[in-house]
Formats: sequence, C-alpha cells, structure tokens
Amino acid sequence: MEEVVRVEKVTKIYRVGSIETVALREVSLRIVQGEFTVLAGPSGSGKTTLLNIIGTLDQPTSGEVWIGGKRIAQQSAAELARFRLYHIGFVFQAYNLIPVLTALENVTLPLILQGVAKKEAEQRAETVLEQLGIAELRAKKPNEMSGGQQQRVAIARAMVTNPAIILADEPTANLDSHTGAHLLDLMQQMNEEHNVTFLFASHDPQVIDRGRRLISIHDGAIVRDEVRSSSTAAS
Amino acid sequence: MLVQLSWRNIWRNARRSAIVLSSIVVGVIAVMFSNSFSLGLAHQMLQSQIRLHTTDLQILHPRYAENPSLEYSIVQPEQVLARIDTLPAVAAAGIRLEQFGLINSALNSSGITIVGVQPQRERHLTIIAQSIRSGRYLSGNSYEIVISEETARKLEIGVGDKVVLMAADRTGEIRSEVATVVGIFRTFNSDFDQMYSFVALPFLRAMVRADSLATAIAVRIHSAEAVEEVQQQITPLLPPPLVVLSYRQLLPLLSYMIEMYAQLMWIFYLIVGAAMIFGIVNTMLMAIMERITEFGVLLSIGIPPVKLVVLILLEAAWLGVLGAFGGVLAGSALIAALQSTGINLAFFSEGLRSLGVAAIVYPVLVPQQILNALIFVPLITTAGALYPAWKVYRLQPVEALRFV
Repeated sequence: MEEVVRVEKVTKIYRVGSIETVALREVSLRIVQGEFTVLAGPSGSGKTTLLNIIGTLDQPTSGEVWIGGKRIAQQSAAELARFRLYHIGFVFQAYNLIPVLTALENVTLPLILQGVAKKEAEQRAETVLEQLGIAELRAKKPNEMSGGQQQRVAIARAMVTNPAIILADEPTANLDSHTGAHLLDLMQQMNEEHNVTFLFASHDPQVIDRGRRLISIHDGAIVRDEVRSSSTAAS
Repeated sequence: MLVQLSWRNIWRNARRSAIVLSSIVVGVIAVMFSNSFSLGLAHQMLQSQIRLHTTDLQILHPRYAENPSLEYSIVQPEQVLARIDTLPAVAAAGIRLEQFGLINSALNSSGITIVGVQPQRERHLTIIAQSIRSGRYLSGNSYEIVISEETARKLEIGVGDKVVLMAADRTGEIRSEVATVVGIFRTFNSDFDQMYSFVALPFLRAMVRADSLATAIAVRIHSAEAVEEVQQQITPLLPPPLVVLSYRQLLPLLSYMIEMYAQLMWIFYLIVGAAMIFGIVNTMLMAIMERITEFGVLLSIGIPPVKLVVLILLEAAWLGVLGAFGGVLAGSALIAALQSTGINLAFFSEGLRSLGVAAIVYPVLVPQQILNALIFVPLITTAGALYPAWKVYRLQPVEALRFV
C-alpha cells in the first residue's frame, strides 16, 4: 500500500512568555492510501495540533513529516501553500466556504489557483458536485445553503484536486446527528468508491465509530492505534 | 478569479463601501472644483488683460518693453500694419502710440498713460469702446479724450468738460494740449482704469511731435490657440529691429500664475490624498479583521500569500476606481453647469476689480484634471491598502483559522 503520511517523532511545544506547553510528544504514525482514520481524544489532547502539522499549517518543534513521499522541511509560506494546493484537502468544523462565491465557484477555486483553465475547472467541479449529490446547489451562495449542504460543498472543494489526503477537523461538530451521519456516509462512500484517504480529528462518537482505524491521543501522545474490522467500525 | 473575488468582496459590507466611496467622490469633486476655479480665475485674469489692452500679439521695438520711451518707437508703422492686415489669421490690428503724461482739470491733476489709437480699429481690439458708461467712444477727431470713471472722479469732471494734457515729446520738451472729455469708461480692472486715457492717434502724434511713429501695433487673432503660429507668420514680415511678442511674453507673471495653479493641483491632491489614505487604511483594516478566518481558509486551500496581498490591493483599487469615476462624473457635471452660469462673486466684486477680474468667474476644466483623478485616486487608495495587505501577508494559517 502506498504511504500517504509519515510522522516521525514529532514534538510540538507552544511557548507563551516563559511558559511552555507540550502539545505533542514524539508522535509517530503512518497512514497509507485509502485509509479512513480517526484521531480521537478529548479537547486539548493534541489531535488538532497533529492534524495541523500533517496539513503543513503548523510546524513541529522537532521531528519530521512526509506527505505523499515528500518531506516537509523548513519551507517558505509560499512553498507550503503550493504543497497544500496540490496534496492536501481540508474540511473544517465551520464549513468555511468563501461567502461571496457560489458553491461551484468555491469548488472551482483550488483548481483555478492551480492554473487549470476555467472551463475545465468548472467541468471537474461539476463532476465532484454530482458525485456528492449536490449538483443542484451549484449556483447557490453559502448563506443560501443549510449547514449540511455547506459542509458537502466543503468536502467537494477538498476532493476536487484529488489530494493525497483529506484532513477533516471536527467536521460534524456543527451539524445535528442526522445530518452528521449523512455526511459521514458520503465521505465513507468517497473513501470506498474513489479510494480517497481521510484523516479525521474528532471527539464525536459518531465519527469515532465510523473510523476503520482509530488513533487515540491523550496529553499529546498516541495511547492506542487500532485497525478495526469492518464489523467493528460502524457503516 | 482575484478580480472577481475582490469586486464581490467590496460589496460584502455595502454601507461601509458606500461611505468610503462617498468620501472619495467628495474629495475628487473638491480637488476638481478648487482647481477649476483657480484655473478659471487665472485664465480670466489673463483674458481680461488681453481684452483690455494687451491683445494677443504686439509688434514692438525690442527695447520698448523694458524702456517705454519714444526713442524706441516703430517708424512707418502703417507699412507694417498693411502687411499684417493681409494675414488671414489676424482678426484685427491697430497702431498705438503711448506716452506717460499728466491730465489736469481746473481742480486736480493725475498721472496717466495717454494712448493714441485708431478708433475704428481699436474698437475690434479691446473692450474699451464697449465699456463706455457715459458719453461716447472716440470718433477719430482731434481734441477728444476718453477717460475712466476713476480719473473723472479724481479730476471732478464729466463728459463735455475740458482737460489739459501734458507730455514730453521726442526731444524731452514738455508739450500740452486741451482736449474735451467725450466719454467715460469703467472696466473690471480698477488699476487699468486709473492708468489709461485714450485719444485719437493723429492728435497724440501731433502733440508729442511723433509723426509717422508708433510704440506698438496691437494684433488680435481669430484663434487664441494659434498665437505661436501667427507669431511665426508675422516675424518675417517685420523690418529690423521690430519683434512680435505674444501675450505670454507680454504678461509673463500671469502666464506663470496659470502654470502655478496647474501645479497647485498636486498639492490639493496630496492633502486630499492623505485624508483618503487614512480612510482607506481604516476601512481595509476593518475589512480584513472581519475576514481573518477566511484568509486562514484560503491559505489552507493553498492560495499563495502574495495573492492575498493582490486581493486586498485590488479591493482598495476598486474603491479608488469607482470613487474616481464617481468623483470625475459628479465634478465634471458640476463644473460644466458652472461653466455655463459662471460663479457669481458679486459680493467680492471690488476686490476682484483690483485683481482685474470680472465678478463672474467661469471655472476651467482641462482633460489633465480628469486624467489625474482617474490615475492618482486609485493609486492613493491602493497605497492606503499596503499596510493592511502586509498584515495579511504575515498571517500564519493556524493563527488565522483560530482567530475569532
């Protein structure tokens, strides 16, 4: 199986004045193509910090990270942005669509940034919207959509560039359980049908139950890493 | 994409953008109006001088301008005038003889410049004939004089009264003549009115023993824009050492003043621009503070930080472009309206008379003003967004995403 993410002895220490807070302690993990992994743990356990470091949004204090076989070393902000553009997709808790753009434009945005011609970008975005069953939302702006619809558009935006991995930080936290379950169904379907690799950070039991691999974090350290059979993981 | 995004972003808070745009529009109108008014005033001062006495061009002895003496007069000016008359660009031309002298009534006396003119020609050169308030203009007969209201008041005389004129002839001997006041004029230039009185050319020639002499040939042309061109046409027609000078050369101070007013526009722009910059910095800082999380999302998606800078600058540039267009449209409409009615400054008319300007000032709008506004204002607003854009450039994605 192709390795998508490798984290080697990553430590993250936040310093505020003379106070040091250790968010991650020598964390190591490996994620391969097609995994549907959940980082679980209570608030402050370090799961979002680890997700941010894997997403190149934050730098580790020590240790190394590889994404899609590329080592993420000390790179400039522009280089990291370019790396994220091609290799990583993000789904946020608060959907975070660009409010002045329509659903189609939001999904097209990463492709346009990649330099894809507008027409081709729109075709590709339309395809993803159709895969996710939200083609009818194409002309709607975020304020005209429900939370669940916005989050589906956010998933489409994350998927459209065919990234090595999609990082989803508490993607169901702002949704009711029914909508959340529906959204998880959708991501699971994308994972199974299109072999999209997902890494979640969540303390939502509904998300944890769906994970085929569960990594538990506590006080910045991985305390359990289990691959669950499909019968264990809810579907 | 960035252009589209920036355009939509400025309408996210339409009220705030409208307030900023209004301030830019008012600023542009203020600059355009003050500049047009200043230029109008300066142009009017210049045109007033041209229409009062200077005319578009004057043929002179080269030393006369610095030493206005009969010693430096034009010999056989009629021959030169005949050549000038043949030029199609020339609307009117006339011979003048000027000499400093004294005008005396029974009660008082005053120093004046006595101007001998060809009345029929002079009517088409200046506005003196149209500025007669009582009596009439010169008929061409000797022993007639036209004086101003100021001079009449000072000498305590009126139409029909006699005055004694005294002036030196070519040899320096003082000559005098009696003349009858046939007309009293009043122009919009009180200094001019105090200085000048007019008689027929032959009368003054006889008085100062200057037969066949002139101190100037005044020339009015059909199109003021062609003054340099006509000047070049006249030059080869002149016998040495005569020269032809344009109004710009004859009235250098006023010409400089017009140039100075054109430069002053930049000072206006600097002052208004400084105010605009503070407004834009404030607006853009508010706009980016509201969107920090969104910038974090864009950075997460993979937008290069420099494109975020471009986005912010484009938003400010849009405000500048819209404000400049709005200001130019409104300012041009206002100035166009005032160009037909004029700005009535009757309240300050006495002060304006001492400046040599009529009470109604017509603002002047030149294309350069419009061009400057359309270029300069977007540049100012874009410059005002540099600091907010720099703040966005330095955003860390994680901090931006956490920003509440």
